[in-house]
Amino acid sequence: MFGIPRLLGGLVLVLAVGSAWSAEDVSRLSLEDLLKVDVAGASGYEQPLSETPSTATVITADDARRFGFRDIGEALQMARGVYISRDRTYSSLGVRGFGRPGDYNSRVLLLQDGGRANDPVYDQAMVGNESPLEMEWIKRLEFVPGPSSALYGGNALFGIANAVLWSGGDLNGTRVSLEAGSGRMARASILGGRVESNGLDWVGGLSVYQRRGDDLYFREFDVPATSNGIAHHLDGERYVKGLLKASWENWRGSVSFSTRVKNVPTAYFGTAFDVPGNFARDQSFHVDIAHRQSLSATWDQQLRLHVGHYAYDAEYPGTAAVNRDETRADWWSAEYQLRYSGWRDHAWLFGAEVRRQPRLEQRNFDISPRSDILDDKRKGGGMGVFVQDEWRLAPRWLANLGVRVDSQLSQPTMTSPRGALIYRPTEATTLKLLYGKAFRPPNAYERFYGGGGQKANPNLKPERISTRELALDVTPSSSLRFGLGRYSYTLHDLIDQEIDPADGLMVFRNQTGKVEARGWEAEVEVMLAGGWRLRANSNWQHISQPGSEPSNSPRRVSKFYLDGSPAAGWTLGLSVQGLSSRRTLVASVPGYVTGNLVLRQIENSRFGAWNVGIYNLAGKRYWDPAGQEHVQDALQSDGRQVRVGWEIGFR
Amino acid sequence: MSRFSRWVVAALFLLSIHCAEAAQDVADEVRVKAAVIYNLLLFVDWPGDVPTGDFRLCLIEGGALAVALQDFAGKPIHGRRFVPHPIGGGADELQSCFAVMVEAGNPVALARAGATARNRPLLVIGEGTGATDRGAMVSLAAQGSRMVFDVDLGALRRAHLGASSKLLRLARRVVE
Repeated sequence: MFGIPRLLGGLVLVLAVGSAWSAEDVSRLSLEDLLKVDVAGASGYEQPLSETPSTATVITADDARRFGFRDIGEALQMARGVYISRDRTYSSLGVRGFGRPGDYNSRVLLLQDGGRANDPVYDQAMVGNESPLEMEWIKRLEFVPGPSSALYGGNALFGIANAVLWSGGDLNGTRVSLEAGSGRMARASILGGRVESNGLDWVGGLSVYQRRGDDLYFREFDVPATSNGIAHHLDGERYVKGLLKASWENWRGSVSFSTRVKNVPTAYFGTAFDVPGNFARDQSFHVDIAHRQSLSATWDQQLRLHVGHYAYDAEYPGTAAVNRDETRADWWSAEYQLRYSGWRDHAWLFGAEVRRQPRLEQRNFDISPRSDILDDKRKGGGMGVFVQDEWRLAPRWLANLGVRVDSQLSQPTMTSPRGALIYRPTEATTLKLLYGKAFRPPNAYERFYGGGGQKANPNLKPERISTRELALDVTPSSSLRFGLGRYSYTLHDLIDQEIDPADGLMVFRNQTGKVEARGWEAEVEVMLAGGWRLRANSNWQHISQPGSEPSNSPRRVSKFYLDGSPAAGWTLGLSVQGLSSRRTLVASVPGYVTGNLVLRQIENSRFGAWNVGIYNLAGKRYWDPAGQEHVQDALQSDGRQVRVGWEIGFR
Repeated sequence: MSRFSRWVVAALFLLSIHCAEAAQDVADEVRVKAAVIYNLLLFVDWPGDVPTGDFRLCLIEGGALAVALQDFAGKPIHGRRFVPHPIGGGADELQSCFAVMVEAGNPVALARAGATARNRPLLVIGEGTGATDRGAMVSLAAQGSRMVFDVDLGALRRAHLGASSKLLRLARRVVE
C-alpha cells in the first residue's frame, strides 16, 4: 500500500546523492529507509571465529597493552591450555598438553584476517618475533581450540589463532612508539590509518627491532675447548615488518612483509659452539585481495586471492666448513565462499579453495669448498570443498554442522567433519557438546629434507586427530563468569622425528599406535571493586602414548591475569603462568611459576605516555625441553627483563 | 590442470569485478550501522527509574563504530542528549549506560552485559549470528547487502524495556 511512495522516496534520495551515500545523508534517513540502503564494508570478511561453536578466547588490543604482550605467542598464552616453549630460534605453542620439542608449530593454524598465514614448507604458525605479524597491528586475537579442518583444511589440529588487524576507521590517527630494554633491546614503530572522504579506509604500519642479547651459559659445553660453556654475543636478533591494508566499498586488500634474523647461540645441528655466523633468517611477503558481494537478499559471495613468498636462510658454522640452508617457497591460493540465509533457522556456507605451490625448494650445501648436499625442487598443490550449516533446532538449541574434503598432490583425500550442539537451558548457562576431526599432511620439510644428520622420508602420510569436548559456561552475575570443560582427543599416525638406529640419522616417521589424551579445564573471570578484573584458568591433562611418556607435556597449566587502574591515568597488568614439570627427550625439567608486571600511562597527553614492563618478575630460572637437533636436553629461558616505552598519538 | 584452474580463478575474479561495477549506489557499512543503532534506540522505551543526565550508549572498546556514532552525539533522544561512550567492559562502567553495543567477536562481554541487564534496564545490542543466544536483546546482522536486526522480546521484557510496534514490524525476526 505504501510501497510506491517509499519506492519514490528512495528513488529521489538516490538521485539526490548521486554516486554514493555521504555521512550526512545516512544520518538523516529513517530506520525503515536505512534498512533498504545497500551497504559495503569490510566487516563481512571478518566472520568472528569466536562466534563459532567452541570455547574461544578473545584477546583484545586493550589486553595486549595492559599486559604488555611482546609477541603473538605471549598473548595466546592467555587462552586456556596454551603454553609456549622457546629454543632461542623459534617459539612453539603447546595446546592441551601437546607440544613436541623441536616441533615447528605446524599443528596450530595462524590466520591473518581469516586468511592462512602458515608457510607451505614447514607449515609453521610463527608466533614469536619471527612472525610476519606484529602484535601492535592486531585489534583482536581469537584463539579457537580444537579441530577446525572442517573449514580451514590441514594443520588446524589443536586450534586456530586468528589475528584481526586494525582498520583505518578504528585507528583514526597515527601512533609512534619507542621502546628500550634489557639485552640492549630497542624497538621503534609507527602505525596509522584513517578513512578518507571518498570512503577509502587504509592502515599502514612499520616496525623495526634489534636486540644484542646477553652472553649465555650452557652447561653441556662447559669445557675449556668450548669457551667454558659461554656463548659470547650470540643471542642477537633483528626484524623489520611492514603492513599496508586498505578497504574500499566491497574490496579489501593487504600487503605485508617481514624479515627476521636470529643469531643462534645453542650450537644446534652439530654446529661449532661459541662461533659467530650461526644464524637463521625468515622472510615473508604476502598479498591478499578479497571482494565481497551480495547477489540477492539471501545470497552473498566472497572471493579471496592470496599470493605469498617465503624464504629461509641459515648458516651452520661447523668445525671444518660452513654449511648453508636455503628454502624458497612461492604459492598462491584462491577461495570462494557462498552464503545462503534464505531458509528460516538455517545459515549455510559453501566454499571451495584451490592452493598451488609452484616453487618449493630446499637446498643445503657447504659454502667453501662448495659441496652440494641437497637440491630438492618440488611443486605442490591441493584443493578443498566445504559446507557448513548453522541450524536453530529450537529456541534454546543450536546445531552447527560442517564437513570439508581435501585432496592434495600425492596424498590421500581427507574428510574432516565437525559438529556442535549448543544448549542454553537458562539465560546464564550455556552447554556445548563438540566433536570434530582434523588432519595435517606431511610438509615438504618432513618429506624431502635430507642433510645435517637428517634424512628424507617421502612416504609419510597425514596425521589425524579426533576430538570430543563438553563445555559449560555460566554467567551468574555481571561480575562473575566461570567455565568448565572436559575434553579428550586421539591422534593417529602422528608425524614425529626419531633417530633411525640403522644409520643414526634423524628422520620423520608416522608413529604406530595412537596417542590418547584426556583433560579438564576450568576458567573464572571476576570483576572486582574499583574496576579491577581477574581472569584465571587451569588445565589438568593426561596423555598416554605407546612406549614412552610424552615430552614437553605438562600435566597442569595455570594462568592468572589481574588488571586495573592503581591511580588515575595509569593501568597495571599482572600476569602469572605456571607449568608443572615436563619430560624432555632424555630427562625432565622442573615445573615453574613466572610472572610479568606492566605499568602503563593512559594516552592523550600532549607529551606522550610512558610504560614500563618487568618480565619474569622474580628472575625465576626455568627451562623448556629441547628438540633432537640440540645437544642440550633443555634450554634455559631469559631471566628478569625490563622494558621502558614511550608513545605518542596524533590525530 | 594448474593452468586451467588459474584461468578459472581469473575469470571468476573478472566476473565479480564486473558485477561490482554494475552494482547500485552503496553506503559505508559502519555509517549505516551507526545510523541504525541511533534509530533503533528511538523505538525502545525505558522505565521511569533510570539514571539522570545524558542518554549514554556504551560501546565495548572504541573503534570505527564509535567514530561513526559521533555524528549523532548531542542529538535528542527520549528528551535527553545522546552520548556515545566507549568503555573497557567493566561491570561498574555499565551502571551508567542506557544501552550497550557489543560488536561481533566479543562473546564474553556480551554475556556480561546480558547479566547486568537482569538487574536493571539496560538495552543490550549485539551483532552476528547467535548474539541473542549470548545475551543480546537486539542483534544486528548483514543479510545480503542490507542491514537487518532480530529482537528478543522476552529478554527486553525481563529488563523492563518496551519495544514499539514499529520496531517489531521492521525486525527480521522476533523471538519471545
